[in-house]
Amino acid sequence: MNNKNRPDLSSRDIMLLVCCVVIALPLAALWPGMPVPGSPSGQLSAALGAVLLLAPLGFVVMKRSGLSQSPPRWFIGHVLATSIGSCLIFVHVAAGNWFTPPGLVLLFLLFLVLQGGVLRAIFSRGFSLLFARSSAPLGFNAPATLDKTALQQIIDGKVHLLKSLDPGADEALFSPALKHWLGRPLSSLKYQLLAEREARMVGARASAGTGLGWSRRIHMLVALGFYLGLLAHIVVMLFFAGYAANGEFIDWWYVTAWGD
Amino acid sequence: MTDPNTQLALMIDLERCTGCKSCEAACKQTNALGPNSYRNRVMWFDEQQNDENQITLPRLDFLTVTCQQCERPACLRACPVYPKAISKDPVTGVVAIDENRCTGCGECALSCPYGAIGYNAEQHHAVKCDLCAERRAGDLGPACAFVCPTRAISFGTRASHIEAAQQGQRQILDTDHFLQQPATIYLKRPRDLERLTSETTARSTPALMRDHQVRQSLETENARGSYRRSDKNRLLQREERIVPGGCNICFNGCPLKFHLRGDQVINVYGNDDDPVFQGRVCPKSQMTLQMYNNPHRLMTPLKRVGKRGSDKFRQISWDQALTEIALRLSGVREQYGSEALAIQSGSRTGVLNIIGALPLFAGLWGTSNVAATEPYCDLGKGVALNLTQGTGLMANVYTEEDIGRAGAYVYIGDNQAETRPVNFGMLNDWRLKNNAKMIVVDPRLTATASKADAWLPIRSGTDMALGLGLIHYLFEHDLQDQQFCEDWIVGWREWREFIKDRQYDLDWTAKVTDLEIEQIEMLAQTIATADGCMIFLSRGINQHTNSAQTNRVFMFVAAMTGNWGRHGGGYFNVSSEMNWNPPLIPEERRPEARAALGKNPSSWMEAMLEGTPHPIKALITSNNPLAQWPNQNRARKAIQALDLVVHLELFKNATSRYADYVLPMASGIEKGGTTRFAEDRRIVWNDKFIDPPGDARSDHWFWIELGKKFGFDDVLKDDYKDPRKLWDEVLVAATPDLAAATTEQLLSKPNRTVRLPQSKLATGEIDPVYVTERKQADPEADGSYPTASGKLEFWTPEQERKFETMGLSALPEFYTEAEQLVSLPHIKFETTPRPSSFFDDEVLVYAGRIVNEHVTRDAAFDTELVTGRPPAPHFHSWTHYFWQAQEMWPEIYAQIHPRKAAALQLKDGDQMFVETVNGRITVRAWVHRGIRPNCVFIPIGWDEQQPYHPSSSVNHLTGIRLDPISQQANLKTHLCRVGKASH
Repeated sequence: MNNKNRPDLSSRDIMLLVCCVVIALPLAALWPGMPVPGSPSGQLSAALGAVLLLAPLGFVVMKRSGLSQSPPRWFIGHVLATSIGSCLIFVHVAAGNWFTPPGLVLLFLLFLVLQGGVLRAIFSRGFSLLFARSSAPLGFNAPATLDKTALQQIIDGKVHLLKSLDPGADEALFSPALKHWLGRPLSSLKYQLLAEREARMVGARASAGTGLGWSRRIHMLVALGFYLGLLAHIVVMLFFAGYAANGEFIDWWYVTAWGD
Repeated sequence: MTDPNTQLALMIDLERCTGCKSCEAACKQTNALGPNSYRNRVMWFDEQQNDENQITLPRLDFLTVTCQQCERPACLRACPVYPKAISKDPVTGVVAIDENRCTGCGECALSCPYGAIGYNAEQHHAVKCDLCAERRAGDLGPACAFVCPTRAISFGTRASHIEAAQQGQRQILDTDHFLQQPATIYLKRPRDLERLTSETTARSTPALMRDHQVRQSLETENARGSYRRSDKNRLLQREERIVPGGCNICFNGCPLKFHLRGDQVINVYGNDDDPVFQGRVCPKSQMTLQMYNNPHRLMTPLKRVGKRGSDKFRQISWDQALTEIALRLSGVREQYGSEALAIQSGSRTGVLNIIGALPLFAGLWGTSNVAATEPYCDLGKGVALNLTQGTGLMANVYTEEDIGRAGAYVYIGDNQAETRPVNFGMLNDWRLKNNAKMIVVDPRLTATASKADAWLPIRSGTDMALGLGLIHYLFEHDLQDQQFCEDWIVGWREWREFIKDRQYDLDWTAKVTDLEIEQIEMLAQTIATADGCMIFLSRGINQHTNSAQTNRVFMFVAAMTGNWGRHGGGYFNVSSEMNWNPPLIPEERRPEARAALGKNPSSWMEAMLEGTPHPIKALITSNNPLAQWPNQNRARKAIQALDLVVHLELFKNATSRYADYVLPMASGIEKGGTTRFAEDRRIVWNDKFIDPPGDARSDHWFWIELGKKFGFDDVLKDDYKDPRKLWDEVLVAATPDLAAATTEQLLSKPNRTVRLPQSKLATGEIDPVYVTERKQADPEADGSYPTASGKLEFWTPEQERKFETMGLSALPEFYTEAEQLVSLPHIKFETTPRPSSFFDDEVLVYAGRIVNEHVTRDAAFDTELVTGRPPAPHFHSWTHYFWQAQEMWPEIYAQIHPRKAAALQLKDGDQMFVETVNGRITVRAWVHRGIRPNCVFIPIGWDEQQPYHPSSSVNHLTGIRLDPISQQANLKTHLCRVGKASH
C-alpha cells in the first residue's frame, strides 16, 4: 500500500540524535556548576526526563492497543522523547555518583539509546539483506529435520486455546494483542509460547542470525529492565530516602525516610 | 479458508524461467523500490556445482521468489501492531502491508519461512508483494507477470492455475513444508520430477551474487524518480499519459509503452498492443528509466585539459566545441586528406544516424572509413547471406504459424535466453506446447542450454567443423531434401563432392569439435527428421575469422534439409539486414575518397599508429571503442596517436578519457528515430517526446551543426533535426524497401511498428521471403531469390573468383583460429592489404590462405578463453550506469569449471587473473560446472571508467585477427592462463 503520508526519521537523523545524546552525557558531567541530583533543578530535570521516557511505553501501548492511527508517528515520538528525556536525565545525574545502583539504570538507558539508534539506522539494512542477498531460496526444499506432525500438533493446540482466548479469531491470522494480555494473561502466555515453539520449528528467525534475530527482543528486555530500575529508583528516593541517603543529608524532596 | 476460485496467486514455471530478472525490474519500477528493497527476487535454485562426484548433469535453474500469499501467513501473525499492519484479504487471499501502519520492526521479515519479505532500510518499513494492488485497482495484473518475457509467471485465481497445471500434466512443487498453506504455485521442470523431490540443498548461488560488500556503492546511490515513493507521489497530481515507442538499447527493438506524468517518464513497460511481443519485455528496456534521470549523464560539452587518459576536462559551450572541432578537422584534412577522419557509430547512435545523418556527413566530407558495430557483431552473417540468397533478410518471424510450428530448435553459439529473452520466451513456450526438441551447441551451459534436451559443449571456434560433419553425415545417409537441393540450391553437388573428398566424417568432426560422435549423429538426425527445424546462430559463430564460411556451412545445412524459405524451418542469425541504400548525395558534392581501410575499426589501428596504407589522424566515435575493440593495449596506443578524438556519448566511459572533446548526447525518446532492425525484420518508431538532460543533443543535431561549419547544410539540411523529416526525406527516399514505412505509417500503428521490407503501401505488411514455400504451393507463382540464378547459391564460378582473390575457396574448407589447444588449420594472413572482392565499395583488407602448420605456443597458455554477452540485465557499456543492473549483476567474472578451479586452488568468488599474449585482467571466479573443463568464459561490457564496478574490459585479452571474407573480428577464441590473483 502506498506510504504517501507515512512519517519517518531518516537514518541520518537518528544517528544525529544518538550522537547528540552520547555527547550530552560527558558534556553534562564536565559542565561546571551542574546541579546535584537532589537539588530542585536536578529533581525537576529528573521528573521531566522520566515523563518523557514514558513515551516508549506509550509507543508500546498505542502500537498494540489500536488507539493510534499512525504507529510510526508514535515510533518517532518515542525516539525524540527518549533523546530529550535522556539529556534531562543526564542533567540530573551529572553531578551525582554514577557508581551506585541507579547507575545501572543509567547504563540501561545509554544502551537503549545506542542499541536502538544503531538497530534502526544501521542494522535495519540487515532486514533488507535477508531477502536481498540470501544465497539460496529458503523454504523451497523440504527441511530434513522438520517434524510436520509435531508442527500440526502445535497449530491444533493454538486452535484449541483460541476458542477460549478469542472465539471469533482465526488462528491463521491471530497473535495476542494488548487486550488479550490484559484480559486473559495466562491464556495469552500459553498461546504465545506455542507460537514461539512453532516459530522455532520453522526456523526463520534463526536463519537471520543471532544479532539481527534477537536485537529487538533484547531492546525490549533491556527497556523492561530500565523501567523496573527507574520505578525502583523513584520508589527508593521517595519512600526510602533514609536508605538512599545512607546517613548523609537528604537534600531531595521525599515522602518517607524509611531505611534510615 | 479463501475460496480457490477467488483466491489470487502467481504461478511460476521453473521450466520457463530463464533468470532474466525482468520481473525484478518491473516490480521495482512499479512499486517504488530502490537498491536492496525487494518484493520479488530471482534466485539460483539448484546449480549443483557442489556435486563433486559429477553424478548429475550440470544445470542452471532459477526460481522467482516472492510472497507466497499464505493462508496462514507467518508474517501477519508476527506483526506486533494492532490492528495489524499486515492484512489478508478474505476474498482474494492477498496478504498486504499497510506501510502507513508499519513501524519497521522487521518481525515479519524474521518470521517468513520463505524469506520473501523485503525491507526498505531508507524509509524503515517492510515491503512485500501484494500482487501489485495499485495495478489491480486499475484492472491490470501484477507487473512481473505482465512483462515476463518467458511467461514463466502467470497471474490468476489459484483454481485456474491448478486447472492449467493439470491440463498441461505439470506437477506442482510442494512448498508447504511449514504448514503455512502458500498460495503461489511453482511448476516443476518436467524432467526433474524425481530429483526435485529429493532433499537436495540449494546452496549454489555464485559467491559474487551473494556478496553484499561489492554492492556497497549502491547504498549511497539514492534511487530517484520512480524508485522513490516521495518522488513518485510528487507527480501524482499530473495526468498520466502513455506514449508507444521502442527500446533502443539493443538490436531487438522491443515495442514499449512509456508512461509519463508531465515531462517525466515514470514507467516503461512492454507494449501489450503489439501482437507479437504482447507486452513481454526484458529488464534492460525497463531500466532505461534509469537513463533519463541518471546522475552520471553527460550534461555539457567537455574539452580535455590534461594529457590523454588523465580524465581532466573543462566544460565548454557547444559553439566552442563545434568551432574548435571543425578547425582541427580542417587541419587534418589539409595535411593528411579527408580519409584521415574515421567515424564509428553503434547501437546507441541509432538507425536514423547510422544510415542517415552520419553517411550524409561522411559522404560530403569524403571519407570511407566509417563503421558501425556490424564488424564485431554479425558482418560475417551479412556477407554470407548476401552471397547465398542475395539479401540480408531472413525469412522467419516469431509467430505461432512460423517459428512457433518448428519441430526442432537448434542453437549454435547463440544464448538467446539471455540475449533476446522475449524471443526465447515465445519459442520456449511453443517448444513446450508442441513437444518440440531443443538442442544447444555451446562451450557453456547457458540459460538457453539449461532448457534444452541436449547440450553439446563444443570446442570454441570449431562450429564450422560441426557443420561440415553434419553435411557429410546427411549426404552419407541420404537425409538431404533432394527435391529442394535440385530445385533451389546452386552448387550443392560441388559441396557434396568436396566434403566427401575431404573426409569430413563424424570421426574427424568429433576429434576437431571435442564432441561425441553420438551427439553429432543425434543432432544430424534431429535436423533432418524434424518437421521444420530452426537453426539459430549468433555471435558464437560470427565472432571468428571463419565467420562467413561457418555461416555459409550452416546455411547449407538448413537448405539441404529443406529448411529455407518456409514457415517453421530456417537459418537464423540475430538481426536481419535491410537492403539499405546510402542517402542521396549529388555527385558533384561527393569528394574523391581513397579506399576504406578495412571494414572493421580494428583495421584502422595500423593507419593510426603507422600511417599505412594512409594515415588516420582523427576519430569521431560513439559508444565505447576502448572497451569494445580487441587488443586494448594496442587500441589505446592507436587512439593516443591521433590528432583529434571526439566522443559522443551519454556517459563518460573508458573512451571519454582519451578524447579531446566529450559531447553529451541524447538517446531514444530524447531524440527520436527508430529502433535497430530486429531479427524478425521489424522496426519501431520513437518520437522525441522528452528533452535530453542539460545541453545534451541528438546525434543528428551534432552532424548537421558540424556540417554547417563546412557548408554542407544544403544537403545535410537544418530541417533534418526533426527526426521525422530525416527519416522520411533521407532514409525512406533512398531505400525502396522503406517506401511504405513512412513516419505517417509508423505513427498510425498502436505499436509504432512495421515489418520490412515494405515497398508498397497497398500491400500492407508482407512476408516476401517465403519464396520456397510459395513456389511449392503454386509452381506458377512468381518467386525467386534475388541472386543471379534466382536460387540459393553456394558455389558458382563467380563466387569462386571472389574467394580466390582473398586466398580461399567458395568450397567450405575447414579452418579455425590459430589459438587452439590442438593444432588445426587456420589462416595465415598476407602482409600487404588488397581490395576486397566481397564489398561493393573499395575496401582494403588482408587476404590469407589456410595452413595446417603446427603453431608453436607458450605452454603456459593452457586454457581456452571464450568471451560473450553478459546476462540479460546488461548490454555493453550503458547498463553499467544503471544502479539496478549493477545490483542484479555487479562484477565482471570468469566462469571456470570446478575441476580446473580446484587444481588452481581457486574458490568460488576468489579474485583470479586471466592472461593472454595480449594482456592480463583480474576478475571474480564463478565456479560453474556448466562449462568445458578446460575453458573460462568472461563477459563483455565492463570498463575501468564505470561508476559502480569498474574493471578492465575483456578485450585487453583479445587479439586482432579478421575474417578475410567478412572482416569480422575473432573475439571469441583465445588461449590464456589463469590463476589465483595475488591480492
